[in-house]
Amino acid sequence: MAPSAPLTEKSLYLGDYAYRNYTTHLQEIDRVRNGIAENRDGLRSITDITDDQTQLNRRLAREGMQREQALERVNGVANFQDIAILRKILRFSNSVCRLVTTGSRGIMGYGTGCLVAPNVLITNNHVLPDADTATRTVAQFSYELGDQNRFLEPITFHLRPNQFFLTSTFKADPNAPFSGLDFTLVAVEPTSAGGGSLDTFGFVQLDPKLGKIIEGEYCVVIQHPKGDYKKIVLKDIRLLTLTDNFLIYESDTQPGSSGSLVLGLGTGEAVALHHSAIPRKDPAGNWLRRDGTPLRPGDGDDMVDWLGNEGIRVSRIVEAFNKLPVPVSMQSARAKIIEAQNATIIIPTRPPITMTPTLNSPRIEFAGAAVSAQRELVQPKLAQPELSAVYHFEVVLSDLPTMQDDWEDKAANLIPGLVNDAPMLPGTVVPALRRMRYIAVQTNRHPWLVAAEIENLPHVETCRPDLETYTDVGLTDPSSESRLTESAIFNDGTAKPNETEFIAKWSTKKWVVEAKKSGNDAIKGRQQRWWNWFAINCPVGDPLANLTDADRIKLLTNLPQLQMVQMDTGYSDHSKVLGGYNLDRDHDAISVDHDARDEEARFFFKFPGHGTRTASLVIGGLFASEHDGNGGLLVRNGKPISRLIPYRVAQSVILIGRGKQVVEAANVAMRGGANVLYMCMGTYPRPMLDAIAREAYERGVIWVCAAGNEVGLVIAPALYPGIIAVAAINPDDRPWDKSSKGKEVDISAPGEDVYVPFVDKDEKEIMVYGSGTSYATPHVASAALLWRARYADELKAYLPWQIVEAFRQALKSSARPFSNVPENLYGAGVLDIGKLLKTPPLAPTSPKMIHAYANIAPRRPSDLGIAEAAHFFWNLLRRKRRPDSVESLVGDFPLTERAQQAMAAFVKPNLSPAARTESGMETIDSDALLRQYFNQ
Amino acid sequence: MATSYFDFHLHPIFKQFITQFNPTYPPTHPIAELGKSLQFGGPILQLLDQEFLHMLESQSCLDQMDRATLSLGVAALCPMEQIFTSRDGLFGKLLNSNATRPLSRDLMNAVRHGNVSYYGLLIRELSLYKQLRDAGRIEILTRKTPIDIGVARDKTRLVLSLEGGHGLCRTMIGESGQPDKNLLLKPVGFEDAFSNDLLKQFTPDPAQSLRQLQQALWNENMDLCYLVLTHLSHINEQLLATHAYGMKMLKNQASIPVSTGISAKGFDVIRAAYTLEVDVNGTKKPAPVIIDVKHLSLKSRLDLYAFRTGSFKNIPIICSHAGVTGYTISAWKEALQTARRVKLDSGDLVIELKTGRKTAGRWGAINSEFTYNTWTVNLMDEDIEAILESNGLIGVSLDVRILGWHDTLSTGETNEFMSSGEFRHFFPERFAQLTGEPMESFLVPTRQERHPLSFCFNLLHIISVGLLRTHVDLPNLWKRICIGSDYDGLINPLINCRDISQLSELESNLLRWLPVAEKAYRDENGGQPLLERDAVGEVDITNLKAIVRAVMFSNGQQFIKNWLIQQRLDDQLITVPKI
Repeated sequence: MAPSAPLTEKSLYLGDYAYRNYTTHLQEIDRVRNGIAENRDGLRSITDITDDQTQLNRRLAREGMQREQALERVNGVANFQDIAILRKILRFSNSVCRLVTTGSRGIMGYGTGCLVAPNVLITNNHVLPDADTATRTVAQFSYELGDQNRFLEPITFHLRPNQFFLTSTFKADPNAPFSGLDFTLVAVEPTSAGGGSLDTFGFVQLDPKLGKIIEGEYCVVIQHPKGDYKKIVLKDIRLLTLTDNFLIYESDTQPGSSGSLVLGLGTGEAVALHHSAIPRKDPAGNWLRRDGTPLRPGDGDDMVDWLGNEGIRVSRIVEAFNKLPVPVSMQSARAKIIEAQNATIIIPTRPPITMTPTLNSPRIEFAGAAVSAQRELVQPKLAQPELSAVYHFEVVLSDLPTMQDDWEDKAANLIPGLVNDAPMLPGTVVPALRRMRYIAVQTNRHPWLVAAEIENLPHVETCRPDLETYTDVGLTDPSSESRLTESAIFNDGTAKPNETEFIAKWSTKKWVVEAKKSGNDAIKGRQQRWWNWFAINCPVGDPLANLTDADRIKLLTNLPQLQMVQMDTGYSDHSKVLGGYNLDRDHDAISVDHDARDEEARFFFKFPGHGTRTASLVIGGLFASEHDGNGGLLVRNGKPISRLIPYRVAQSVILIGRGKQVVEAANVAMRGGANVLYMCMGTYPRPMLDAIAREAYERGVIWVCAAGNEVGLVIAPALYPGIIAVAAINPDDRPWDKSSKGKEVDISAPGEDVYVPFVDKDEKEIMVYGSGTSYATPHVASAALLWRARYADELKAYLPWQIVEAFRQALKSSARPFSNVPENLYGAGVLDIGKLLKTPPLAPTSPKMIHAYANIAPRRPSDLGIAEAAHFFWNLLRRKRRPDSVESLVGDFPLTERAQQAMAAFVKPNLSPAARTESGMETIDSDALLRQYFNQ
Repeated sequence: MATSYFDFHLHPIFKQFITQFNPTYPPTHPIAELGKSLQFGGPILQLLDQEFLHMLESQSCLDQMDRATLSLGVAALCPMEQIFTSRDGLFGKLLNSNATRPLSRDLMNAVRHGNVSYYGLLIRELSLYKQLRDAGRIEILTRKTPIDIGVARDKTRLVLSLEGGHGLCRTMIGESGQPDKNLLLKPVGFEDAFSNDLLKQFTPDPAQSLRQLQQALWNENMDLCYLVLTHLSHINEQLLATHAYGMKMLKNQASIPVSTGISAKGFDVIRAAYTLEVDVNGTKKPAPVIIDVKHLSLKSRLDLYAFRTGSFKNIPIICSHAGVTGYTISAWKEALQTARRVKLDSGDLVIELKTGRKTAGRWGAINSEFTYNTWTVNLMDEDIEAILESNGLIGVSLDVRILGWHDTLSTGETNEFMSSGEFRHFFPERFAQLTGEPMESFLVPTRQERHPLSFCFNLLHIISVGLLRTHVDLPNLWKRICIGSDYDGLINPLINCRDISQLSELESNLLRWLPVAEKAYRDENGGQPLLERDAVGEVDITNLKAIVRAVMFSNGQQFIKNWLIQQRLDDQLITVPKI
């Protein structure tokens, strides 16, 4: 038994505060207590205790089974708990540590902490109120008893608040958002003094979604009560009520253990951060002893009659964590923490692999899972994920109506753990896409194996897991000093002016020379920043200047009826784009809300992410700065003539997330009336991206996509026939050497060293030259919107797909052909916006009006093993090599046998036996595999 | 001579039409059978909720109209939307099962699998009206050859309208790029204006489709009086306007509105409707179409009113089968109780909201409170004002759900759905406060009861709003209202008037309950008398009978009379006559 602890000023404050919460909800608590009593007497089931049906439904949904079964399971937990939950709790317990704070007089206090990201722990603010306290505190893991009550040797790590420190005070301040939540997140040194790795302790994911516990269910608390060995409280703790910010739960145990995570026994998920016990009080407000008399000075906490405990809800902590401001220097750390929470599964260690990536990239050696030797291919070591989690799958049903109907009736029986089954594209205008489903399955099995089992059903043609993937943007050669590429900019978080380098490189090249000849006073002295306007034959500052009055009036009359949606990382308030957005219609497909603000911009007011830069080429206006230059193509004389609707579809410029989020965003945009979409990032091909590209085409939405950066291949969605694919050129009128190319490309536009907005190290708004097909794409998208507006009346007589084809034809026929490019892999030439706006649409009856999918066989899905291998290689190639890269945290899985066998077919044959012997491993031709998968 | 009745919106042959479908044209329903009543479903349905049963009963077939002496009415053509062929929910499963025979499985499959266009369905139903007319069973009124409808005839006179702009869509249902050419003419060589229009004049432009439809109607000696832009679902392949959420039993998520206001195509259609001309022997003759605001979302309705500027300003607006919310828009906003985001399978975020109901009046010992249905499919005071000021006409629905009567012991049927865009428009601050994970949608159907008092309260609120917000005087206000039953449109009818043949009973009920309702309404809401008083201050019975008769017949008759002789919609020929 731990000794009695004195009641400090903090604990008295917190006790009073918790008591007020308790009494506020006393009626509710009494109702639940009565329910619990009846439950103990067998008169009421646990699921009948709560009166919040929504909460109950959420809780049942987590069981991943039909409602009746879920009810039975939840109610059975009291007596029959699945052993898997205990394993999960045990695993979580590894991440719990003792916090020891020292001062000039030795140990000043204890607390409990828990890792919630690979090197970040959470505890209470009243344990670690500030960075100074944190520097004086260490985290001790494995401070616990082993077999035969022998002490295990604790492993001690220092805290690193200089790397990350975020706190919400334990006292609520009405002027401070998210105060009063009493939590602190702080970085931990990855290596202990003795060389131990923090990685071995894993971390607990904080799931912000609701439904992890319902009133009357049991809680579990893993803790170091008063600094004692790690304990777990398993019994007699039931949840009494949930308030907006807190959970109140029973307590037959000692108080203390500040900073412990409270887990729901039914789900094994973290539900709250314990922070205070609740004292019983008399009507005069005096705390009461267990014998009913008022507490006396000098009484310790063991004298108090405790009513219960209070913890801060995990959902509130996550919300606060996402919204509280942090310094720029800590944003990268926060991004890691966020992505750690979103990672599907965490496998800390994997066997080594050597491979030879190609695709214009240097040879890279990865410590990732894959094939090492032929011997291992025969007997693969397939680890099962330990966690039961919900995975999503895209499913193409059989084309037999009978099988489709049968699926509709029996899907829940056919697939164990089926949580949800919905059409991939409800209301699709393409009949063939009606048999695409999007399902969610709760399972503890390998998602690619689950996919294989689903695919084996007679109802199913193909099934693919929808796992997180990377975008094409962001591969960086770390040896490069260049600051011009998009990825280099991103990883730094800031940029510095690079006009000197630009001029040194391009001042004698065609479009810079042309720009310099310009007599336009408005841009005098900085014409080079507008070189891209000259390259696309657009009058600087007014894209409509060369139209006749009648044509201009027609265009401007129709323009307000048209909508253009940007699918990217969201918007920011950078002065260059401020005022150009339509923020009445924005959408966030990642957070699923209506604020498409760039996550980075939420924490730092003007952080201009990838979305800001790609928007600036559409709506970039004037901002009062010596750095100003370039501008949006939908801006006339500094004022926008159309407002851009931002949709957030990617978690970062590198991580696109699940494919369905892109599909949903495009679908929402189309259903909301978008006429032009553009997307400046992409990923590897998948059936659902193929489907949404087709859907857009059939609905007459001009969808302009970047061809891709640095991977050589034309990426998805750009590679699909319905899309307008854009490659990049440079100021020398030559293709950008890192631009993807291929027969899928329709057009090229300026993309290398285009002048775009950013901030410098002092957070001052600037503009720099950056590169990417990301920057070529907005030029074409803007042109598409202007062309549609100019010819809106004529296009009314066109079938929707004919509008896209008419635009494509006009775009190509008006393009300026390349003069010195032998390959026809960059489309018909370079965008010529002046000529395009004077090119009327091809007649719908013209023989040249050919449906993009008319002469193309449906894209045959690859074998599941090849798809898995492609997914693996794509993510591997996109993974950043820098140790601090955020995407290194994205979960991955050991390869299935099928994928390994597929890879084995791509073993490089030309490697000499000596080389094989030297490396001890065989190498995979990932380039060939990806090209085959991409069909390029 | 029997008492005549008028109905501004009903579906006389809809239930017969949906019993048969084949790809040949013209359809071959036996004419003698077309007027008969039908009962869908067998013993299984008897075990189910009453609401289903009433919806599936015939309510306004021609035989019932004859019995009602309904001498004049507006037949609404409403091609079955794909949403009705979804098997989602109990209602969907029933409609798509053998339990609802003789509903045609072929028709359901054709719609479900997109083997026909909505326009193809429309002309098939039009053909049946044509056949009925040619067989002498009905008379179809047209401005091409206007007649004096003051002179009685022994057959029902019908005016045609189109409920749902989806009926103008000529691509296969659910597809945007596949023109409908699936019209197998039988006998070979058969042609009429409708088949020619479908087969020879494909257009993807709904405005042009409307022009061509009116020309085809004209060529067949028919005419289109009004157009309802939307119906009960979001039509992906041809979005004209955002619809108002209208039916909880439809579980398919296409029933939930997702867009915002009227689309560019929708404005094109309205412009075309207001300026429509037909070719008569080489001469252009005006043949405009009135826009009916029913089923339009609130923002769409406001968009329409704002659009009516210049020469369109004086064009009448109508609502053919309305209920009222009892609120002004600002009062409705004040009454918002709960709102939460719901994520649909499509990825769309919509808002599920609940507003407090406005009390219409109190009467009786228990469950005495009568309220209005506050769903935005019903008219706000601003709508009523706009319609009355435009010389329009309001047909009051006989659907108890629309009229607002509900079982006060039940909590259901209170939440509706609104698109995020429209919610953001009306509640910008509340919208910004919506947080938390969006819920997956679920809908719970509830049972309702019905009562004629609810009908009276809807009538009275329209009059009250007219007195407060327009310059129309009391006698003339009572001339802007008629019956718009929506019979055979899958409604749950008033208990006292389960089908059109019971209109006389409804008239008796109005005479009995209007004075009661007027007192209760004024007790609750105040205001001046809504019914004329006699010398001793009692409700003037003679006047009461006159206004009830006008509501049941003569108001509608006068509106149609005016419509028949007008040249342009904005020439204000539709005027309110003095009794």
